[in-house]
Amino acid sequence: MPLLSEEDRKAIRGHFDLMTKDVKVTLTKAPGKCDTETILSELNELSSRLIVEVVESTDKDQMLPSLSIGDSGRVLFKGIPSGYEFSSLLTGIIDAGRDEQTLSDETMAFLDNLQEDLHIRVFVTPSCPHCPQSVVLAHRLAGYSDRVVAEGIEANEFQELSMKYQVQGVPRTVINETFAVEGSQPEPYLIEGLKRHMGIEKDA
Amino acid sequence: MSFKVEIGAVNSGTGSSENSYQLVIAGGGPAALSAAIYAARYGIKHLVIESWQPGGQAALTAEIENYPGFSSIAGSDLTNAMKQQATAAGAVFVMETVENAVEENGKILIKTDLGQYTSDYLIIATGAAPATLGVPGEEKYYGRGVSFCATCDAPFFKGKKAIVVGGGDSAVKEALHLTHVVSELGLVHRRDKLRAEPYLAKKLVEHEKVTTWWNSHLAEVTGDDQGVTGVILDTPEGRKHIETNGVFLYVGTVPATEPFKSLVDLDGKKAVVTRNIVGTSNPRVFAAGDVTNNGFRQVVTAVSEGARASAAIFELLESEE
Repeated sequence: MPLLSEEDRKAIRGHFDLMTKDVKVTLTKAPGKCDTETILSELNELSSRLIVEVVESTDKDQMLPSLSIGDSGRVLFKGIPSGYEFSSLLTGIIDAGRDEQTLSDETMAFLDNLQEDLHIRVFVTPSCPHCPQSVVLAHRLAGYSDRVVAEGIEANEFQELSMKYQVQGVPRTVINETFAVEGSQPEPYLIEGLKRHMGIEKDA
Repeated sequence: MSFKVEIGAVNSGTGSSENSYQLVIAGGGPAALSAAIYAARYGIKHLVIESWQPGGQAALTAEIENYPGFSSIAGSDLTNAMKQQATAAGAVFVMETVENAVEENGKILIKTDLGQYTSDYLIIATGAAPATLGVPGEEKYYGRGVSFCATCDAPFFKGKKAIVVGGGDSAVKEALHLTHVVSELGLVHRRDKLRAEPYLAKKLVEHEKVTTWWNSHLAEVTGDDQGVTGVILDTPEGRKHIETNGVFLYVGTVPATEPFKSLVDLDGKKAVVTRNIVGTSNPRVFAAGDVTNNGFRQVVTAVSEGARASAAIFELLESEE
């Protein structure tokens, strides 16, 4: 039985029709069949613009499964993109498939002037309806700036990492090991918080 | 673990290409989704401005057992099905945040983080956000043991101790959800009896993992650099320190009415004051669901109010032709 219902397929086709360019999604996984591979193959049937590449890894230290959306290698999801995180995956694909920019001018100016690289980790659970907001925002920052790497991380699947970053609630966004915020932060709040943390003065 | 598909939170919008509508529906929960289904089927030119939390509070409810037609359904499954039904009926959604709404030249002007829309009518169905208690430690340990969403955060408390504060339906439903995961659960309620449905209340109070603290108040959340380690309760027997890892707060909600405060009358709790169930002080603005002062905050009443609001607007549009 397919994972996507006919209604899901219809709705997803509607979203995928917005794409104007091809998008590669690379799944790195342990040997053997997995649901993430199955869902990607079902998505593959819904748009000719989606190119799915599956790579097998036996590296025990790698966080698997891992998804990379687009060619940059900076828009990542670690774990199974189930539940609400399936929405994050779809939004990431749609974003990568078109040239429209959704970030505000202030955010783009901040990213254009970055003097250091940002590694954003957004810890989530599949049952959290407001987590995709944080993952998608992080992915959009990474999609815009080559100084940003953004990972959505399914906290249940990577418990050691979750413990390391003191995740006891989701979403929790951790940036460069030193900056962390709880809950869904709208774009201007996250950027302002980050600016304060980095010692960047608010625009005059 | 089975793969679950939730597409309700897909954000593929970059703002609507049009900006003039007969009806704008603000919100993404059951009231808004029901209003959207009816608006689409009535052929009203409409736009649903969802916030970033699809499904509203209902989507945060682990199990809903009192919505007719389903003996038990996950809140997110129910709201996802509603959204799919609305989409199939032709409802048009954008995922934006309403920042402000005012009346100008007989139209409602709605400003969002991504755009600006004018509309003949507006349905406010923006729901309500969890209320806080303002006690020491609550804000400090938010996300590090203090939570407003058991559905989201329960996995972090597997085999640990947790407490739930509250006595309404939400508190009891989420406490029951937590009993599947935690080793011990404390229930703290300011009265000597739960307000929740008696069926659910009995199930919780009799649960082997549950200890009840009646007539008690949360005074402080304590912790260390790892997160919450306990709470201080004011009980009829005096102050008590209870060891716990998680504190789940269900102490009411605050209606999400800030953007609409100049448009309609609000009551002392910031809820939209309704007339004839879905009308407001502004004849061009209707309201439905948890954002109103209608009282009974259930999915079943929210969908009813959403439907009534769209039906009332359809009649008004017809009479204007």
